[in-house]
Amino acid sequence: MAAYLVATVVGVLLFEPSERLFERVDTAVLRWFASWRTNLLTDFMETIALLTSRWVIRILRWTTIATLLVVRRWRHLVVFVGALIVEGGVTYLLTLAIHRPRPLDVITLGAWQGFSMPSRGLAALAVTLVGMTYSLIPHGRHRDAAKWAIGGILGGVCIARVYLGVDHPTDALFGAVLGVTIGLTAFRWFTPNDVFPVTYRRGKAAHLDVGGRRGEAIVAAVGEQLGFDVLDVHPVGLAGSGGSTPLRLRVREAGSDQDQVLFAKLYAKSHVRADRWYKLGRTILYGKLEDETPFQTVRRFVEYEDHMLRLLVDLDLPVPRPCGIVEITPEREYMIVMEFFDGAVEIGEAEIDDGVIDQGLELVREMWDAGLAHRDIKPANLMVLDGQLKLIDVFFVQVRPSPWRQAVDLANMMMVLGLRSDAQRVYEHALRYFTPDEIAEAFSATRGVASPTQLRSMMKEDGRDLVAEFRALAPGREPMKIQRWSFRRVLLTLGVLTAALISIALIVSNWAVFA
Amino acid sequence: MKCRAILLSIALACGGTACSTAEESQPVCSRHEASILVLEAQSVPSATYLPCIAELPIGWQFGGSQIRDDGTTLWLDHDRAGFHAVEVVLAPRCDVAAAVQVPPAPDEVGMQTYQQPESLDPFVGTRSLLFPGGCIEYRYRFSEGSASALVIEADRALSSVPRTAVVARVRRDLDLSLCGAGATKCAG
Repeated sequence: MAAYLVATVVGVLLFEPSERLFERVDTAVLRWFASWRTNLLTDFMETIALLTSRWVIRILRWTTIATLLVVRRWRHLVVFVGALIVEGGVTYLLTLAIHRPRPLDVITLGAWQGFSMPSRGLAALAVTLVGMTYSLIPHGRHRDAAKWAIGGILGGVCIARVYLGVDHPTDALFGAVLGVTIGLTAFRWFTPNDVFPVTYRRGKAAHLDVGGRRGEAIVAAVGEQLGFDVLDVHPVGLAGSGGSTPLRLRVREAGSDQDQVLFAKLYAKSHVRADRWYKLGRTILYGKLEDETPFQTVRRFVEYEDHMLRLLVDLDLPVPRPCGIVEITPEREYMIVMEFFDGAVEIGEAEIDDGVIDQGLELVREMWDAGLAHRDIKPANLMVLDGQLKLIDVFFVQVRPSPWRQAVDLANMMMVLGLRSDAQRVYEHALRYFTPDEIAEAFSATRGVASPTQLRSMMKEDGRDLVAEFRALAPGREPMKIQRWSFRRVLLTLGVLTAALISIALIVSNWAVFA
Repeated sequence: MKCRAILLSIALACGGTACSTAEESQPVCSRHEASILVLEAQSVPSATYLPCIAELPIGWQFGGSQIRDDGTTLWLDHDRAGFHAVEVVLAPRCDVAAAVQVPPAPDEVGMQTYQQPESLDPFVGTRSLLFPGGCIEYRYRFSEGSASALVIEADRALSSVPRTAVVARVRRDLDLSLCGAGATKCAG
């Protein structure tokens, strides 16, 4: 950043009044390089300078964009494209502001376009290489090596362009510093490695890396704030979790020699943003079916979940006992810690007997009676421990939900239970807790978005049409409409479409100019 | 801190642009020291004349330029004749096989002048000026409904300067050689 500021100040403010000095020094260097010109060396330098040709830079940029699309690293993709556009615009404006012609006193041998300071070719190459490094190479040894390689490449290209008389030495230096700084600033600011690490392991964007500095911070914070010595931290149940990073902590209470295992969910600002987009998406696709008000801070996230856990514990429902909230980084990362059901098996892999079926249905009945809806009933959130059903992940629990929402909870629970048994058996048990009309209403309300993704995919894998089987068992009822149209939904949809079109147009038009 | 630094540098860049581009981005014939004329000269080092703007009549605007190592293109916009109504191209050579030679205008003495009209309404045609080491082409592409007489205004707006004048100015201001026609030998 300091180098960028110095370069900008020198370039913009000092160049014009000191033009003669700049020209003299630069020309002396250019003459010295020109004195070494031979056919062989010129061919070699022309080959190196090809790195700043439009086609080479285009290939590098499009390859990076294609790779980021394939690995679905959207944030890095947006930052990469943004950095290219900003670099193109700033460099172009600076060349007009400084309006420096190409080198004098030496014969120019290579291709060029427009004014020379800062070197547009070098700035374009520098921002591209930095962007590739920060968006494609994981943090660590390889990225460090890539940074040195970038330094070497840019140094070599600077020398080649000065040798060929295409750029003055100060043009080349200014262009390289400008490109590197824009790239570095963009990636360090918008994709800090701790929050958006570049990894190639399979997993969801929601899952944060809990090694390194974050891992150390978790251990220290749990010790200071909850009084536990953390012996180890491991991600757990990642497959069924999409909105946080679930962790298994092995801890020891101060003064005790007994280990215990706790469950924790790590939340970061990225989860708040993801929640906002998720709710926006739902509003556009289905209208205001239920409360789609997004959370504003990570602190609110964990406060809400902690509150819901305590509420359900008060109602004697089989949920984990909360242990408290841990602040990892103020306003950025928080962790909610609770009881871990050690030895529990996800219901999708457990043996289901009549007792478990009854517990599942009774659980929904009790939540109905307490005026609650879980809103995320799926196999990953139902565990079986010694024949006892446990309910986890209460983040979506809603107090005083709509009857539709409660009906959907019932249908989802029946489908989860049906996956491990059969529709007839579950329906018969359900009649002990619900009337046929209530069951009919549940299945008339449930389709598509109403069921969690994991449940839908497990039903697809299973092959049986459980919804149809349950509907056939229950009294006939017309399917309930789940589309809610409102002025706000139309406006929101148009707004998002317009913003998307403007963004695409901006990228395409700028790409044509600067790529 | 980072935010302020970025804003400061953008402001510097934009501020600098605002105060200097208006003058420097137009190749005004009377300003031999203008960087854009030097850049034009560098784009075709053999050319002994360089296109420039003499005086823009009302309604005409300098549209922009694209200057590269293989030539220069400038263009003028007009409120009725449209964007890119006239394109001015400086190149090492021009194809005048299909054009007709005409007598040169007073400011074109020493050049061979060719015209190739293609349409009168709207006016479309090319005027080529050939001189040692290069040529200048004026390409007229007026919009539908604009008067053909505007070509007279366009011709009044455009002119050329001898490269030697720009070479001499660079020598005087910077004591350096603008390589190419009319200059002393350059390094390399």
